[in-house]
Amino acid sequence: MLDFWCSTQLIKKIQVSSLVLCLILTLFGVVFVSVNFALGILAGGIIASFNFYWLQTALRKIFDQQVAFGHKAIYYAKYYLRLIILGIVLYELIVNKMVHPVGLIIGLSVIVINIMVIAFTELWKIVRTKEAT
Amino acid sequence: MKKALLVSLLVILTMGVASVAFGQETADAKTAGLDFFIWTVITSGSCIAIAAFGGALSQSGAIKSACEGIARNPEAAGKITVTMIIGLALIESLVIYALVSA
Repeated sequence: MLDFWCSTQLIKKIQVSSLVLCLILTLFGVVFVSVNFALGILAGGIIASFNFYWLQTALRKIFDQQVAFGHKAIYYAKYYLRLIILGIVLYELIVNKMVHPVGLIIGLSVIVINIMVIAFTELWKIVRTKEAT
Repeated sequence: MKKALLVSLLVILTMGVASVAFGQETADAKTAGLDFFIWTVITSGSCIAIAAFGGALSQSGAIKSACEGIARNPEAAGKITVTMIIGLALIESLVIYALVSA
């Protein structure tokens, strides 16, 4: 069970399921709230997923011992470039009132929600396994 | 004549006082609006500053521990990195919430 939590499989699972969750929440937003709210969820979800993908790619390369130190500098720069782009995109979205702010926050929470859901699912599996034995 | 002059002077004085009072009210409203704006700027600035401070502190702690772990046991580098990435994503999301709120 611990191996799953430390494997790259988990990262892929989080990435895929966060996009799926984002689409589901967007559909709920369109049906039950408004298009602007749904757009906020979609934008937030895409930003969060892209941010997570960029974060893990940069950190993997930085912590990879086979990558030369000179090449690592590029990934350090990319790490900070990510933060700058994230700040600019969020600023534009909020200041120009392109999307609903609450929807945006829900969309940005997609990764966190996913990690929580996966954690509870794994916990549930452990409990069921113990009950069976 | 004298009485009429006195009355007109009183009317002018009253109107002057009233206009000053109304002006004072407008100035008070403007000051209140400016105060609100100033406090909004201070609060949002403090919000993102505190969030960035806390986020930076916790992320640096996580990365420090990960580096120590990898130095002690280089074979576990992959596992430590994955766990650290998830931790950093959780910490960073809190800072992003603060940024959006600010």
